Amino acid sequence: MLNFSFDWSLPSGAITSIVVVLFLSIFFIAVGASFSKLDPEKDDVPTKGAKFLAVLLVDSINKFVVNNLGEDKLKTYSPYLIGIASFLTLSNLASLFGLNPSVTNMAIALSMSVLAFTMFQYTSFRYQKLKGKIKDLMGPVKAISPIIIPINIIGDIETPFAMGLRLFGNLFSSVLFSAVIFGATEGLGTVVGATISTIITAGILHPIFDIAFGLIQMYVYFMLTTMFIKRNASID
Amino acid sequence: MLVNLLSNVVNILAGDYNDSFSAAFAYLGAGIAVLTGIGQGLGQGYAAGKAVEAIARQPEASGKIMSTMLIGQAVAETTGLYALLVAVLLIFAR
Repeated sequence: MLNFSFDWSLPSGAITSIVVVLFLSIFFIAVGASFSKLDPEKDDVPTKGAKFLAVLLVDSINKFVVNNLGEDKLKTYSPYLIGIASFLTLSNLASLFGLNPSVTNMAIALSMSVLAFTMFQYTSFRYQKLKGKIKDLMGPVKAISPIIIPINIIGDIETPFAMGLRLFGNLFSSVLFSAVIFGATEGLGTVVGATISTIITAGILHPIFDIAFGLIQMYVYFMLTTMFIKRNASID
Repeated sequence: MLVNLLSNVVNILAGDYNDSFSAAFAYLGAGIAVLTGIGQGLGQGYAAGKAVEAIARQPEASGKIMSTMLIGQAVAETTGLYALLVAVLLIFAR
């Protein structure tokens, strides 16, 4: 007998990522609509509010892409990098708002690796073409290429996998630490336990594990994506 | 006696004993797995030490050194995260 009942409840990471994606979509659509109303001849560059934030974000990442990848890759990679940077920033800081960071769900962390893998392969096929890609896989010495090709293919898969797993491991370990502290202070009674756990979480755990680790992991994922795009795009 | 001992070990390994034995070995394995942190800590500490040396020698390049150090440390952290994953799998997904 088949069981057709389906559990409709979402895992906590999926809820966070839906909330973050909805928020970002609404924010960027609204800001974009308000930008299209501006007149470039009359209005100045906005200096406050959400528009200023958007200008700051887009401008800094554009500058970063031009410096690191080059002017010709601005249109392809800048929106992608802005997307992952804003998504990871908000979702890694989500535990400040009482949600689990979305990459504590392994499926979402590994879908970040699938995203990175797709982007790297797209980059290498676009800029190196098929011939260059095969040459790159074969390595410098032709005679030992049958040994090198599988290693390079494994390397191609392993890099994005490790990137996703790194996000998962860091964020998951911080959530685990917080859970252990909450569980340990639970036994101390309501008043004492609540005070101690508030002091520890507000003073130590949230600043270190959520803000610092989350932002560092966002930065690392961002930088690694840029570096591997740069490496895959190089024709030599 | 030796045969008895060996057969006991084989029984334990084959899962013939009760559940607490396999739980004990899983916890032991998780503890051994996170010993990987030794290497990871050495690597990250070495990177941080070298970064401090570099900043002391060339304070104006501190931003670039910082970001390079963070990326290197994050890459060095991967082995520790694999160990954490193995430990978590041993404890929770046994």
